[in-house]
Amino acid sequence: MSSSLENFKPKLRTGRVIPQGSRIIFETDNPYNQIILPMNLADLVLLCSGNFSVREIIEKIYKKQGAVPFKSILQAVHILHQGGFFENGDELEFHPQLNSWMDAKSSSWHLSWRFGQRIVASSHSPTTYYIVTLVALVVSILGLQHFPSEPLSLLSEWLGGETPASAALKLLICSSLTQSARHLFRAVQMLLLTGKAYNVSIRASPWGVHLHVGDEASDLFESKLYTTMFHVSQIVIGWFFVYCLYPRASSAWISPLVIANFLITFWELNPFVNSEGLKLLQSLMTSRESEIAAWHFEASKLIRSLNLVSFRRNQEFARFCAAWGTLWLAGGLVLVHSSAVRFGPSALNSLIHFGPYSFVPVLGLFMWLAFLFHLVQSFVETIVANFLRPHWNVIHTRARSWILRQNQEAANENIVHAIEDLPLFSHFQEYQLQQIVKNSQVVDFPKNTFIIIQGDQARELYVLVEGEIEILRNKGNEMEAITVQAAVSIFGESALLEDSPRAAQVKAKTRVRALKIPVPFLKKIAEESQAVRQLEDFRNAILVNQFFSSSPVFRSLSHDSVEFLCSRGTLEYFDESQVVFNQGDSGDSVFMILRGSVNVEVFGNPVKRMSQGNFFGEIALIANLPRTATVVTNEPSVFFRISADAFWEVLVQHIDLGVFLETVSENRLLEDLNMSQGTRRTGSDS
Amino acid sequence: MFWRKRKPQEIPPLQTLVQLASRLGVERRVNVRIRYPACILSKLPEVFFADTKLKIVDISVGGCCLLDPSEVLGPQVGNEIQMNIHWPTGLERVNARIVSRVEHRRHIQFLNLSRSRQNFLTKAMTPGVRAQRVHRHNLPINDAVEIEALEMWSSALGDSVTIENGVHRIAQVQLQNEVFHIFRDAWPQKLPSGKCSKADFEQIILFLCNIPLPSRALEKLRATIEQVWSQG
Repeated sequence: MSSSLENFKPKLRTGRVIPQGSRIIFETDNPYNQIILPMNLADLVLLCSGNFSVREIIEKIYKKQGAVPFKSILQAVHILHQGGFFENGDELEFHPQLNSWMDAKSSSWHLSWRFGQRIVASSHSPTTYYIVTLVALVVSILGLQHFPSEPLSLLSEWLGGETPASAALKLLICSSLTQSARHLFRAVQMLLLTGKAYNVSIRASPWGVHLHVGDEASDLFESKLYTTMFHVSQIVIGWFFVYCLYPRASSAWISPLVIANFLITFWELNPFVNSEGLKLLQSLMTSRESEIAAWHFEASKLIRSLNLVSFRRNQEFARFCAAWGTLWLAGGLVLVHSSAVRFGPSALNSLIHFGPYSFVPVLGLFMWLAFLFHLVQSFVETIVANFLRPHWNVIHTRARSWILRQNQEAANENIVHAIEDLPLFSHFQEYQLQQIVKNSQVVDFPKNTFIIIQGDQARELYVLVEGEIEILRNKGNEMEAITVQAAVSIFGESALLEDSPRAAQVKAKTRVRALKIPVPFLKKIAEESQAVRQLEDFRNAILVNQFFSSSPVFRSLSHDSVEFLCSRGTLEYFDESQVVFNQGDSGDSVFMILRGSVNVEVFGNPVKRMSQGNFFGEIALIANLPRTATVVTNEPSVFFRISADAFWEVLVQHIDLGVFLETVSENRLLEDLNMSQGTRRTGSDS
Repeated sequence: MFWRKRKPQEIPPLQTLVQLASRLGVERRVNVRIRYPACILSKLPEVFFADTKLKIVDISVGGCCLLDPSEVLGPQVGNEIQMNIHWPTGLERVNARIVSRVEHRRHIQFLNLSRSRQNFLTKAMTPGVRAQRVHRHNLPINDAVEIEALEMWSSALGDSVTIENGVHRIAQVQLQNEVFHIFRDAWPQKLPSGKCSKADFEQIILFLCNIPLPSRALEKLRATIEQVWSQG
């Protein structure tokens, strides 16, 4: 039975988790199977018990951590699946799109036969590693004296004394042996330093048939010095063999060995592929998070941006890579050009006079074309594309918006007629409505998509032109449906209130077409016309509604009660430092702070400050006392004033609210009484 | 049985009311605060009032919470006081207000803390702030997966704590890309250099001290490293 990624219930094979710094190593009973993961994915590994689906695991991680590293989780599941770490891995069926996204990096030109997933040494010795690598480096540097100043002349001279077939064969043998020796040395280095070497295979590639050892264990290197020594030695180790063989081997073998080494060294400095040179630069210039990325996981951009030093280092790394890449490309083009000039005519000649050994020039030509293709592709894909990408986006966006504008003009007329009957727009002239629609965006939402997310900053007002929407609100961990709205109506009106976050979620119940109106533009049009008053009334209604729906105290009130309070209350505007009421006044109403803030004073001493969303004046109502404190506005403020009678009418219908308000009142009263006693005592003392 | 004394009705503790009140907007703290470790760290300030050193419970750039069992600050909420704050770079006299009091605790708001001191404090607080993102990883649900550690704690920022049960090494801490090994009775070790400076050690203490909802093992680890610190 196959299941999709979301419904797949992963069950890990028996194994153990070994924490190491900020990483964990998961090892199954078979020590050949091992995987390194960032520690923040430990929960994923520990939840893979077969009891929870991937969807449930993600939900659990979200509830616990407040954030989900989706990309890393998917990659981890993919790699665990590929590596056969899941007992029930056969059940998982990856969506082809996901599969291609995750496998994109591993495409390369080779065939391989893996015969060892992991080699383990009984002990490891960093000191021996250090000495062996240092000796190899010194000898390799000595071998670099044989580095050809004119490699093409050397190749030309050597080819002059060889038949094409034997030349090709010797070159292939030399490159295969050099690569095998290089990888053998790599395995020794890794075993000495970490005690482990992964993915040992025989590989058939353009370099011949050779031994290949994966560099995954290099992630376990704990010192930057060791990492640097490792990569440098991997670039130049071929010259070690040249130095050792030069006095002994005949010139018929030395020349192809030098040429093969020249090509390998040149390729290992290529920053456009996953070469040793690039890894060396990464180890020197990037932070530790990026070292983890060298294995499987890219640290998310968000996390990287939190670490400014690392971000700066990565920028430097990118700049350095670009400079290096340009130099390498220039070198490559010189090589391509010189080889075309030197070998082009003879190669074409042998192609025209086709004979039994013509396959060698064909192979040479093919390699030459492949190299040229790689140079052009690297140049276009990495340098030109990166340079053009921002400009291309601008061109693309403009062209798209132009086409959309053409289609929308006809639709706009219909929308104008649809919205003119709405109360908010009824006072606008037709040309103003046309302006509003023209400067707004018509957006189509498929069924079940979220149009507005609760808590987001509100900047646009929406008019539902077609379809139905559902308004929901987060209540703890659940979503509570408030109402369903049909076309033509307004939603997202909280945008009319400055600095106000969205109070609810809006979800498309059917396919929805909505007009997204930028609020600053709407206000500008309203100010130009006589509709400001209308807009202001609308805003006030929203303010009051929003107060009741967002206040933790009043949220539980029924819709009827809120409507009742709204109908009985009045809006009151106060300037800065204006007294709302004085201590000792008789209290006949309660105040809700819609905008602004107030200072509460007892006997002239500031007790507290209350701001938007809070309320005051309830003590006098509940305890039937005169005002226990003086309330002064701190800034220009708007209050919603509800009379005592109306307030009690609601309280008797909502006993819970009444009890709660009474408790809060008691506390406040106690605090005020304490304050007044303290002040009196201080006064009498003085 | 009816003759048995009835269990007294449970009265909600004051804390619940405070929590409810804070939902109403009474809680207005805007700055991130960090807990003070039990031991003295050189980068964090000390607070004196009238030559009496007051123990700091937590601190932020906006204020701090002080322990005042002998009531040197007085009981008055709303009072403005002048405090001497000893920074590593020198003494500063700061105007402050007592915002609230809970038993012996006084919540103090700094009124004129200079911008440079705020920046200094923000920098010194960094390990503590980062620690607040750290959470503990679950123990394995099935017996099939075994963890070679007592507990694992990590954050999305890459910081982590692994509590081990070794004879000598008791934990590994990764903080701001640096890895430290914590030992039972010895000065921590920094990888790969092996040298853990005093400043690094202070950062580890502050980091561990601010990890939320600590387990018993983490509390024990804190106590151990604070002991190593005090022994020098």
